Amino acid sequence: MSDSPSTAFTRDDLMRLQEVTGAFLSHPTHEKRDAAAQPVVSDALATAEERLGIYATAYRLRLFEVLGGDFEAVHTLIGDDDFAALCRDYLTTHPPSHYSIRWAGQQFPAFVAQRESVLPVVREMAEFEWALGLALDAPEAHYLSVETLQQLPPEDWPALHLAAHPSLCRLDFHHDTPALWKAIDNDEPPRAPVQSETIVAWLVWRQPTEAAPEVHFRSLAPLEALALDAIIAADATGLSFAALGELLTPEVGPEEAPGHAINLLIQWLPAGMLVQPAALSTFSVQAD
Amino acid sequence: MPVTHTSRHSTPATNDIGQGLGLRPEYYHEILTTLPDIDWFEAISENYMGPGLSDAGGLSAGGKPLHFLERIREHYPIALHGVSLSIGGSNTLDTRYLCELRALCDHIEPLWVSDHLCWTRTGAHQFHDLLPLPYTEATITHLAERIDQVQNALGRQLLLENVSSYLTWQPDEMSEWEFLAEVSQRADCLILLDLNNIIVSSSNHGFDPLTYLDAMPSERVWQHHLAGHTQQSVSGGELCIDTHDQPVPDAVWQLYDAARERFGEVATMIERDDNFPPWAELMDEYAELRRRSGRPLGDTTNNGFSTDSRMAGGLHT
Repeated sequence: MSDSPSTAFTRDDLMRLQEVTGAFLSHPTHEKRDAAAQPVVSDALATAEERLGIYATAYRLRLFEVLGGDFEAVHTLIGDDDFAALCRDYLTTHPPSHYSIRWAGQQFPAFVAQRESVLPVVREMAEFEWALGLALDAPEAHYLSVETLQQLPPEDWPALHLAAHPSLCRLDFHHDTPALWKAIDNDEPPRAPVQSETIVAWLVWRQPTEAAPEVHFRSLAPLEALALDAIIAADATGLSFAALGELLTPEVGPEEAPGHAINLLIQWLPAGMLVQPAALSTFSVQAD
Repeated sequence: MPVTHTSRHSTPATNDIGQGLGLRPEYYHEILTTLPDIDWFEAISENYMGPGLSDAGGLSAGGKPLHFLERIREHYPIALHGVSLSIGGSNTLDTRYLCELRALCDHIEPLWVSDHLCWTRTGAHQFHDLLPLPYTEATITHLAERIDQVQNALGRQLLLENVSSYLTWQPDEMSEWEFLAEVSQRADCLILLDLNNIIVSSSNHGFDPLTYLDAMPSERVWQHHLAGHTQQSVSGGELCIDTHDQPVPDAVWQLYDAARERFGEVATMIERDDNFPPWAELMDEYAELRRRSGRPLGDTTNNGFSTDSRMAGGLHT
């Protein structure tokens, strides 16, 4: 160990060493490589630059692999070269900051959306693929079950508050993006996206099954989208069953509204889409 | 410079818990449908931490990953192994990370918690790599203070793992094994000795792996990892790259035999992180680990780990 305090390595030196190394790993320019190589030993086996290069390559490949896994269909749609360029530019703008590499792609859909050279269907695909991942590991909450509803006295129904399960994600697409994703996932031959005449509402969510929760997605009729949007907008407060009926009244008339509301519940509850607001009171679903 | 520990944390009851496997999503289904004769699993902490339920001041993740961890925890003891603590980093320790890890511990009740003796972060930038530290007195002081903070935050002793490295820092004042031994003593933490990483680093830096083993304080060696690696050509020959994507090679098995001679029965597991083989192939490798550990699979007379003792604590819901 060193016994020369005047030249001893200090904790400030440790910080500088890490900063100069980190700067090279994330932006491996010649200038940064030269600075990072200074505190590294070169020997007969490999130079300092070669040894540092192993870390720089691993950094890039690891993140490319994660982004490639999260956005497989985007990769397929735009090809290897454009996807690599997109990942490189994304990581320069948004270097990973969360402790889990799972969140490295968190800003990717927004980044893609702002890139003028990217086709609209690719933007939609990035949004859709990220939503699939979010649904997979969104926090759990106790589902509102059909049985709970059946046990509720009729006079209590109007005050029953409905909230969205944390995995629910509403999306609006101009193209048949989810169908295209499924075709790519099934390794079907490439085909062009189909553009819709009107915007189509989609829902992504995690459905409980006996074996393990599964991520599902489906398109929504306008009335169902209207109702779900209102429930999602009500956030943890929830939307009362009475308010749901009032929301539907202008669409289907006062006679039909309660029946429509009940039909929607019958569809939503077995799919695990709703919870009671109390089940959400302690949740926060956004990562940094 | 001595570090004053703000409190002492009890060492886990025992590390003589047999042989385990790294828990990876690729094998969830096989594990739950076949309930193989494996003593314990090691789960990557960060895969089950995350934004989610606030519980007693902490946060725990939900969803499909936690669903599987809970199901597997119903049948097996679990050790938690982190990759992002950045114990040697110069940034302030991430209190949110510690809070979420603590919440996961409260939920899963792991055998113990480990991470790596390295740095992974500068400021807001997480590198997702296990970057080597300079082996200096200042680094030891830095580590001892931070390990004390982590052990207080988690309320338990931490295991720290030696990482593979491809470079040597000019400022080094001691060998890696002297550094690791000194950190463990000074910080009063335990050692997760990855035998593959010793082989990889010994090849890259030209030292004798047995010298490394001989320098370890045996009472602190609490767990072993076994894994495989690959080679990469460089100007003067080949560097060993720690990919954890190959079967355990002979050199690592032999070092395991040597470790058993020195440290006795230490919890040992095979860590496969990529290029995942079929489950049966991995089980063949696990069978080899059991055989070399004197507890061949199928030999019920020599199991020694009853379900009751292994499952003490269980899953906290």
